[in-house]
Amino acid sequence: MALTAEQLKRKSAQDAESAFEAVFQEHWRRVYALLYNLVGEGDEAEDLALETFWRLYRLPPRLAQEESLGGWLYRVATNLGLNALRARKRRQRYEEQAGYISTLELQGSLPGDPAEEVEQVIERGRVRQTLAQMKPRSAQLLVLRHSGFNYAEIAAALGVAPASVGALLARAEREFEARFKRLV
Amino acid sequence: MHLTDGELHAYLDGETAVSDLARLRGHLEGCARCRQRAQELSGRVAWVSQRLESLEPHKTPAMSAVGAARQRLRAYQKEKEKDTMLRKIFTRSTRPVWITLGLVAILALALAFPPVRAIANSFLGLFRVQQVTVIQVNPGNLPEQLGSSAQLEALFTKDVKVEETGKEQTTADPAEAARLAGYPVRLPDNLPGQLSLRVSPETHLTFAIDLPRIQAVLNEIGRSDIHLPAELNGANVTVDIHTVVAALYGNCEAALQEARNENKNPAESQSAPSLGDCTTLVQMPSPEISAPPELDVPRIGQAYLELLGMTPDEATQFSQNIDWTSTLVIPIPRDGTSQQTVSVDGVQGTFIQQRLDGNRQYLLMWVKDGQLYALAGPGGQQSAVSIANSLK
Repeated sequence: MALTAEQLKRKSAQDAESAFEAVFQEHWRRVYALLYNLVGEGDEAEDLALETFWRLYRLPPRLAQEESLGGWLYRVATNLGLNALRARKRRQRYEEQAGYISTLELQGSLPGDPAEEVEQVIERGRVRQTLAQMKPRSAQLLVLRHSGFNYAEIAAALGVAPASVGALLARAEREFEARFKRLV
Repeated sequence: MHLTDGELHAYLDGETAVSDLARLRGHLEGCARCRQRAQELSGRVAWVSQRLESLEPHKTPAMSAVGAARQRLRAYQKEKEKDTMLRKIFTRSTRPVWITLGLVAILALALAFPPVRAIANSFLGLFRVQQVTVIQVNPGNLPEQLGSSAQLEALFTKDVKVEETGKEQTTADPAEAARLAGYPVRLPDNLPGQLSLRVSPETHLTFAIDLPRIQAVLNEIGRSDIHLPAELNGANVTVDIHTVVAALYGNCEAALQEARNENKNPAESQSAPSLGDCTTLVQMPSPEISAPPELDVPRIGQAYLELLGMTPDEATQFSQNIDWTSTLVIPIPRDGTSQQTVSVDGVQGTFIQQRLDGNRQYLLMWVKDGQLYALAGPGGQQSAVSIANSLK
């Protein structure tokens, strides 16, 4: 992202509008895909992506002068996605205990061995539950890293020093493993 | 010195700085323990990676074209505009709180910036205030969504009831102001500029604490890691604020207008408004708060400090060293402000200096004989203290 928050702020309203369009064109697919992976449902992912861009539209980031809009966008998107997971946590756990598997979940999987499919759906449920239980920033780190962000991009998105990303990831992975294994 | 997990992780991810690469490689070659550690780490990275990969859909999600998505965003924006209208109405209904709290209005004028104001509004330590403490806050550590949290607004509109006993009245006559206020009004000597006195009525605030809603606010702003004691739920906290007298000297209309606009749209304002040549003195008897005795006040204070960006350890330490029942803790932005304790009006006061586009303005607060004073205006410490010392 070449545009910084400061630049966007300084531009006239019209320029801000076209800057917003450019940001939307550049980032929509990636934001949507990230949220789709996270929440696993197309409609919900789209709502969350719309909310993310709406927030950007309404509230250009005002904090650090050199913060990239891309970073802001993915921080807000992961935040919203994880919030959605936390909100559904209870319902989903109940459904899982009742052996209920959403048809939406099954639509996303390959036609094949039904037992394997069920296995995968359960695994996905556990991964989401684990992310929802984790410290928000740690969960964000993992989601961004596994969406293909490099250390510099993660650092920009989460407002941490690039040199600390390795240590934070190591800690987040330990936390993920411990919590995931408790669910199994 | 062995390599840290962070260094090893970065190395495994190919993210080691070029200048560091030779050192890391050299160390790994000679250190079996670090090699072993790297192997463990790499195993975990792969395992976690596999788990997260399970989230990836096996077929590409049916994604609408970017153009269609843009259309839907327009529709979404329209829906949200309606929502924003509602918010404005809500914000207006919470405005009397601002005005009545005098002190906060002054903060809004002089120092506060939107996210902090949202918190100050919510948590204001309005116990019987005997002293004022300022903590400096790095705005970068504040939750991003604080200024625009819909849940926070719901909290104020649904759970906080405000009863006012009358209307704000304006006069130019100090004797009249004292009569309206019900206590002697102290004013500075020889302050230039036309004087306008505003007397706000007594206000009674009731806050019925709805813990799930507070937790929803914390979730929404991404701080679900902050936990509040369960016994808080259902507790009733009441705040009694006596009449507040604000003395305005000079051309204050412009500054007030700016503050009003900002209050309507706190999320959109970028910085604190300039006071221009307006000097204000707010005085009020210390507000009284009553809360259930079982309320764990230091713990709530600690949550408040964590919300402001302190780490849990810092917050615990700070919280233990403060008497929350008698201290008003005001967050101010770290950048562009400085604060110190000064002798004023025969007591200790807190002096905050702010630089705004090259101009200096200040906020000076102190408590004397149960009265809370806040003086704000252009200039520096000397003029602030001399005005405060001239109160009669």
